[in-house]
Amino acid sequence: MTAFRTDPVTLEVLKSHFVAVAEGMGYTLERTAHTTFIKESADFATGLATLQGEFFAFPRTIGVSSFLGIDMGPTLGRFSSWAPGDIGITNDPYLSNGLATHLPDIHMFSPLFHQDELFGFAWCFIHCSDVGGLVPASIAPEARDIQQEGLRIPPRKLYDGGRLDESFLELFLANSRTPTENWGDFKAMIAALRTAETRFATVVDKYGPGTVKDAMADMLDWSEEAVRALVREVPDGSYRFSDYLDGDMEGIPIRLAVTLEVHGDEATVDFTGTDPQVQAAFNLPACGARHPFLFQGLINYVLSENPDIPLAAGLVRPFHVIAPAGTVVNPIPPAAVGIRYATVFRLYNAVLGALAQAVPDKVPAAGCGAGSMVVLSSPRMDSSGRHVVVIEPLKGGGGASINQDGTAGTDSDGGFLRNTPVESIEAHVPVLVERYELLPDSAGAGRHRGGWGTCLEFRVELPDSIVTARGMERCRFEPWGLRGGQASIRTQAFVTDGQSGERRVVGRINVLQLGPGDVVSLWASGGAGYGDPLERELGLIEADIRSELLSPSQAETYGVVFSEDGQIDASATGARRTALAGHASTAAPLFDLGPSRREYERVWSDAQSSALVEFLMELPIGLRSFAKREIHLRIDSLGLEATQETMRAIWSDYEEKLRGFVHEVAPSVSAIVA
Amino acid sequence: MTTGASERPGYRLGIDIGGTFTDFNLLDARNGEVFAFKTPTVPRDPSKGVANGLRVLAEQGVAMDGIDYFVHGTTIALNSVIQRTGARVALLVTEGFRDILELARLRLPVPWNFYSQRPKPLIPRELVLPVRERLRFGGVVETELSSREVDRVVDEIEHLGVDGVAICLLHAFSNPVHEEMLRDALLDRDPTMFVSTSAEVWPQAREYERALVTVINTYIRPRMVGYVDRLHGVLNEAGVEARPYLTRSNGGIMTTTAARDEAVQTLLSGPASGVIGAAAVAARAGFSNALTLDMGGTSADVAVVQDGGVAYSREEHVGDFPVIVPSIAISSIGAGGGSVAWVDGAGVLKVGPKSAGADPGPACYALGGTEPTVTDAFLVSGYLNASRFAGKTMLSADAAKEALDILAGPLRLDDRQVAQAIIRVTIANMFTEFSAVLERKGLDPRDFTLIAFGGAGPVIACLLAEEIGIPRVLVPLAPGTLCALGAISAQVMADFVRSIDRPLSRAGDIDLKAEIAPLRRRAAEWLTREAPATAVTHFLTSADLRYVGQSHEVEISLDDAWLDTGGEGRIAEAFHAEHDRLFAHSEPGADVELINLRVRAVGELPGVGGGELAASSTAAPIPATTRTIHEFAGAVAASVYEREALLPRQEFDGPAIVEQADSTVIVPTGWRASVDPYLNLIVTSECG
Repeated sequence: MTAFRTDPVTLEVLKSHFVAVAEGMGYTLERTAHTTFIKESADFATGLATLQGEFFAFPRTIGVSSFLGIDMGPTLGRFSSWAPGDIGITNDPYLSNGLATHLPDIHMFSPLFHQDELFGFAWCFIHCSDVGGLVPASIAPEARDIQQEGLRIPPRKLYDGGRLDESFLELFLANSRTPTENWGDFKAMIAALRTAETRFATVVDKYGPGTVKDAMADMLDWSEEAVRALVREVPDGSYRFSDYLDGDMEGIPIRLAVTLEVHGDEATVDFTGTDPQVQAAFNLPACGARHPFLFQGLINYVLSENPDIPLAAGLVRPFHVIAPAGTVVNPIPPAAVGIRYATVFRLYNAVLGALAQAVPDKVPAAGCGAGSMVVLSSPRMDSSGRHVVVIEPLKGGGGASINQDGTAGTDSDGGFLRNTPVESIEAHVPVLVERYELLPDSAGAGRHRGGWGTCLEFRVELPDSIVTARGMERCRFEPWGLRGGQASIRTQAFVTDGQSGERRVVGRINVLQLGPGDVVSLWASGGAGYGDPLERELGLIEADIRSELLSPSQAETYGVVFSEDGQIDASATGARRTALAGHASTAAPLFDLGPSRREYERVWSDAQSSALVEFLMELPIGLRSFAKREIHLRIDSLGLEATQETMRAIWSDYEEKLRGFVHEVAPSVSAIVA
Repeated sequence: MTTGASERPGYRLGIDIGGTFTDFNLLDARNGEVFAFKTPTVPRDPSKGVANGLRVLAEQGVAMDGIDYFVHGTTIALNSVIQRTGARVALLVTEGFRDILELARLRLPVPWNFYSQRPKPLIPRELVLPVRERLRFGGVVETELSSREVDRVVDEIEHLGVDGVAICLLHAFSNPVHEEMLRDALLDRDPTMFVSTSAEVWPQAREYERALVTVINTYIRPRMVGYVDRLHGVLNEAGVEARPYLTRSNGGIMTTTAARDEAVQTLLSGPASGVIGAAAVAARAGFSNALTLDMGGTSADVAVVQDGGVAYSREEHVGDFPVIVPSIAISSIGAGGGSVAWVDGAGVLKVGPKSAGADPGPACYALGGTEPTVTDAFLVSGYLNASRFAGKTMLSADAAKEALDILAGPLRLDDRQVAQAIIRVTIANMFTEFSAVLERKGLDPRDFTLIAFGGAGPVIACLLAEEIGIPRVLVPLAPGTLCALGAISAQVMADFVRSIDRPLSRAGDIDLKAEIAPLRRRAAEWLTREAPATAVTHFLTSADLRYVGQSHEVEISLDDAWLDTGGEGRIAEAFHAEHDRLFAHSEPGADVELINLRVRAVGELPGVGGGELAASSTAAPIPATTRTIHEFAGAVAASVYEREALLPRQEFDGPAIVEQADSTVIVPTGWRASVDPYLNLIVTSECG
């Protein structure tokens, strides 16, 4: 039992009051927000933080949960003093040390005073419609630096002692494509903060300053202790795993390497060996901090193991992070960061792959590992502009776990996503949805199979239409299975030409230019399986076949034999399963990484990719992407072995040229190259 | 009812069938007198519980042919969905959308939990048949439904051998032609087959939600029909001649005949009638803004009455299923009397979500429950009288103490302190949830009166009100049978919808009168079938509107004059004003979309006679006894009053306890109680 400052009854009572203040902020924000994005996709959050910037109260029922554990401390540290009525604002990942993680997320915070005493801070963020930059909505995969992604707001005051900084506001709104909506949403945030200030003061009035301060500190200890108790149950050791994003804009996979060191009741997540930052918007600006986006898998793990843990930042305290600067998980400015959530999705897999080696009973196999926003842009018929509308958020199936099949069409890495009714899409977007259903034979087999993937097919109606699917991933490597469970299939995309009827594979969608009648098909992968498929109950296999999501030919993976009437022949199946099991002389490996990854890693094994990263990290940041591509292309096309000697040899050609160039232009930089 | 009817009794009988008890409320319309009592529910056949209650009434000398209205709430529909005991039915969908039920709206109930899953569909995939056909937005045919395809589907359905068929095709709310072709062909083949089409059940855009209500309607029908038939038998045998009505989720009533085809409308009928009962009591007592608190053994539910009107919702939840037929908006704020208290790994006291329910119930029921519950805490704190507790012969104080002792060690407190701790935590939990309900609607608790009912509501109401800042609590005369009272206060009522989904801005684009006409016609036909001749009928027209880009609508009442061409401006104005009221902003220049048109048909039953019920008294009431109760500040001696002995205008101060057959009212220190002309107890905070 934890030694608390407050008694265990008052603590539970005050927890309710704190959560009520945080949720009250959330409901106020949701109710008064202007833009659809906030109301419909609930892409906002609220919370209460201590003077040091740790969240001690977070809503359970409203907003997104993944911000829990972000440290506001460095942001608060940029302010010298606080007075009642102040409100701070920022959207800058680098200058807020990862409080903000891309520019559309606007964060605001205000001091919680009771009489003259400062207790902590109320905080909220919204994903705002547009902050300028290359494209409407400010998120473009091809952005090469953060300046292309919109206006940066370093941490500063929006209100100083209750007085609005109008000249700053004017500047900000002039840089947005949606100034009215932004200001409307700002007002909702301000209302939420003001609500918190008043209600928090009421709580202090009622329970007294000392008790409230004690309870704030206890909330953090309580959540911390609950997590320590769970980490203690994880065997000590060093667990290494990696996974890949499909690639930067050049198409070479981005590798995320994780070493999870568990020692007693603490764990370190070490990202050494992760690929350098990329010249595209996939960088996650965690700023070297203990950032929850880096280990969302661990957070979901502890909240799944103990659903009663209070949502307070103490739950990240037992975790430590090593994230080398200049990698995709700790990019150096001005790296672009707009689609950092694609990286968060894959880190979820990478971290859970490491954890699975420690506690394989308690970790699910990989799910589809992505959530893409399928967007259609088409010319307006009533004016000169264009419609830009999200058709659906697309997710595939979830990974299987020890006791259950994976979820169909979504997963715990993005379980908050909601789809849009087809009838509503067709009322507002010039498309005809031809198919939106589960994808047969898309799940990895196993004693428990993965969740079925999803298939979305729609026909474009207007000429000069553009379809994008930002965050579309897993087109290259299959989601991995666990403990004999099989990997599932890759995500695929096709376009069927409206004129010729010809279907072509398009792979990962960047930008598709389409005309009337063209049909876009997106097949999002299912989740991977868990456990030996030969152990799956026959009744469950029969049910899958009856549902027509599992074809009889695919069912053979499970070792089933059909009798002539098409039913499963139980005794023949038993015999076949025994024979197949006998064949496998050794126990199944922990992971089935899937055929595509096995093929890729024949050249680029863990050791070889690590060697490349080690080499690349010696180069100037600006050259790493280029060097990575050149070395990959040369090794792959010439069929060389990927040793560090080969890499150095390949690079030496360029180095000569660059050295001369560097000398001519900026001699002082040559030291870095040398 | 005519004024000359005083020779006849003119009874209205309201019945609420709950999990444990069947409540009866008999109102004599001549003088407004109410006779309330309970009989045990017979879970296997709820109509038997009704028969038992009718026998009690007959023994009391109530003439069965004097019952003019017979209304009751039922949980048949709700239970068959929650317990998955409905029929084997098939669903027909547009080809390409076979997983409409499985995909639902994607979101997981607990998004971050590895093991969280959406509810399993009521119909397995092999009974979902894709049909080759397609309509576009607006109901335009994109792919014809061929007669060969119809034959194929009908053959397949016959082969499957199902008890019913639900049909939900894309855009059928705009044009039911394909749904009707399939329905007619199915009925041609088998006239006994029950077929529900989405256009008949609830023709609103959003295919998953519409399919779901169509499926539920089909799924629960056989049980509903079986029950209604047995009920008719019971009534015939007892000699009740009145047409039986059932309460429905929208707070209105409909005949059992209509309920056979619209069973989905009864899903939330029980809780809805409680709110209607509470709203009726509040209105009569002169409070137009009320929050209702219904707390029983397993849950505590709240609803909002504002300016005399009950707040409705266009999406309530049954389990994790969204149900889009109009319902009274009821929010669970968690704990009931059976909620179990426990200590977590860090040593902190928690209450719920586990509940001891009605069986075995709290430890003090002495029916085998050993875990400490909220009711045990009430008993040990002196709030309850062990020898007089609704429906139980005797509570065991020893068993309660023994259960609380489990927590005494870890918390290092004695029994009584543990009891107070449980009550504090319970109230704090309810506070969080209740605040959320108020914040979502932007309501100020100081403007409201809390109407407390259910067995445990009046026990905790003042403590909860104090925490939230509600200045006044009203406890009706019979808080334990308010649902049954609600049943007889309800009006005959049905809702009709038509989805439009077009911009409102282009004047004359939509002929509102022509769009509404079929709704009015259906509404009028429905009332003719459903409402007794004595009812005063009227129609309420409304529209769901939103700004372009939003997906949440705001409902606006429509004045008939606005339906003429050019009335769009008035509608938009009303929308901007309501949007501003609800969300603190509006955008008068922005484009507005008309999503749905709605018509509500209402048949108002004649009023009830009688006025102030009892002689008043200004004498101080005399307590029957005193009892020590424990408050947060310590032990105090509380006067104990008998509810039956209290007369209008009598007043007394807390700490006090009011005991009555179906509940107990706690009036804490700092609160003052008075009795109003209708024998309601009005308890007011003295702190302002």
